[in-house]
Amino acid sequence: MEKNIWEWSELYASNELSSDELIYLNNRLQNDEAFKIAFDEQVTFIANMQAMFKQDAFAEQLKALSSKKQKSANTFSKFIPLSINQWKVAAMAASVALLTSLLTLFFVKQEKPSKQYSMLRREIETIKKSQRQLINTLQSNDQSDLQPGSYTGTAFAVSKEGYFITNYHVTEGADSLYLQTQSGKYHKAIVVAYDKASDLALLKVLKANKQTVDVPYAFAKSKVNIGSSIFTLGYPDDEIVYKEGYISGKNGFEGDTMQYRLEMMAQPGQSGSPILDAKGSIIGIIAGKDTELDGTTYAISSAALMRLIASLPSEVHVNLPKINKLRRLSREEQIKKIQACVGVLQVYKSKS
Amino acid sequence: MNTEFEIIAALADGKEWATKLVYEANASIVINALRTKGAAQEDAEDIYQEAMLILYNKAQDEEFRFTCKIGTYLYAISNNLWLKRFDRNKRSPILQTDSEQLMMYAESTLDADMEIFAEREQQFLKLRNAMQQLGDPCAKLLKSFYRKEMTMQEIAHAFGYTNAENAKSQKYKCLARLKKIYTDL
Repeated sequence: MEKNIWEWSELYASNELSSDELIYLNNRLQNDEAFKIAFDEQVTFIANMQAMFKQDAFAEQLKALSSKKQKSANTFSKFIPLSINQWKVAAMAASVALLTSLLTLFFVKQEKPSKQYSMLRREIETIKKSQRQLINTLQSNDQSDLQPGSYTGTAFAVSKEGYFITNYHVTEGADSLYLQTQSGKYHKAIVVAYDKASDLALLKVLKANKQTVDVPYAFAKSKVNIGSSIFTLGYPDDEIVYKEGYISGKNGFEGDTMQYRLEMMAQPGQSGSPILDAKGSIIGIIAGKDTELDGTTYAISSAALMRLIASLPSEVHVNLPKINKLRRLSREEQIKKIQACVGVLQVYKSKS
Repeated sequence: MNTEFEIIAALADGKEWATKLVYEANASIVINALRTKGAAQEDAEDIYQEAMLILYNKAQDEEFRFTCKIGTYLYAISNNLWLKRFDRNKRSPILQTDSEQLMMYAESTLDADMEIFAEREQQFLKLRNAMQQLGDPCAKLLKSFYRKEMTMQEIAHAFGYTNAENAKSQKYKCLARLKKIYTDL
């Protein structure tokens, strides 16, 4: 146990000492007067500082609320708790509950995306071939009461435990969701949490084998600068498609500070696609495009994603990857690695 | 649905959803009440923000969390702030209609809460001062760590230390310096 006195103080103040360490510490405090005096002072000091940083963070939340309170009055990030072994059974029920709890907000939603803003989920009724495949898959899974998917979006992995992120508007009102990955396999997915205001939904993909996902990218903590070049991978078609562009505006649709404005073509089906910078850090998620300005696309910043994840209850562990493994790779190699983490999300709704 | 206890506990822990929930559930009631007592819109909003901060501070005490009525407390403390600090005319004693709302929290308790909060603010102010004198990269490093923006691993990477262990020992050096500056202030 070769901790220095500051380390002892800090671990004690943060309640992070094991019981063995506490016994050792107590002993030392009783027998070493000088150590005890310094230790007490330091613990008080650190606790005070922790409290200050915590209060500052709280004050910032308050500030943000007061300046934008007229914008959205009743949109909180919501969490739908489910224990893991119930997930399969409860997935349907959960998505129905989600639907009903949102019905009241449905009409408000209609007017919010104005004429200029169109969401990029893809209606797949037009694509007969893939539709037929889907019906087949469903019948073999004995879920015949479900109607064929109404549309698709894109989702990508955010942690190795199988959490994926997509847009809230893609999952809205869904009875069930299936994620198809590069390998062609379908996996059932459920919405674990969502934030309607920022248009994000966090999914858990249910896999029979507990195989982990190798997430090669990390997430940008702050906003990147205007002019930065960016690229994306998504599913406007049955196949994954690569596109590139640049950040053309620091804020998104109607000055939304949680969004970016991008100069990049986007098509239906790309909702929920990751936006990466040249080094391969995720900086945002595609949400919609401007219907009047061709080539203007809006993306939700990664900060909004972090906020959603930070608001999860402590029993849900979403460990965002900390290391960016794409930093030194060529674009082709980057894409090869990212592809495995991006999937097409099939959304099913019941007839009514 | 969350219980009031769960909400106040989450607010005390700095969970954003709870802050937002409490803020938005009570903002218009409290601000309108202050307005009818003659507060300008801007003052009313400032008072409400401060009331939220006092609530946050008070909620660090677990006992308070078990018994509090969030809305009533915010209403009562805002009212007290208005009477003691903002209302220059020192007009009317508390209106008749208020009494029921305010009975749960005695004026003396509210005064004490305001004072405790002011004292803490004083301490934090001194600490912020010390942070400023400490300067970068120490101040930045401490902020990154204590605001939980980065892990030691990421700090090591961002600040150019060879590994997390080195960054950690640097962090303790920064802490020691900060404490010295703070005590000398």
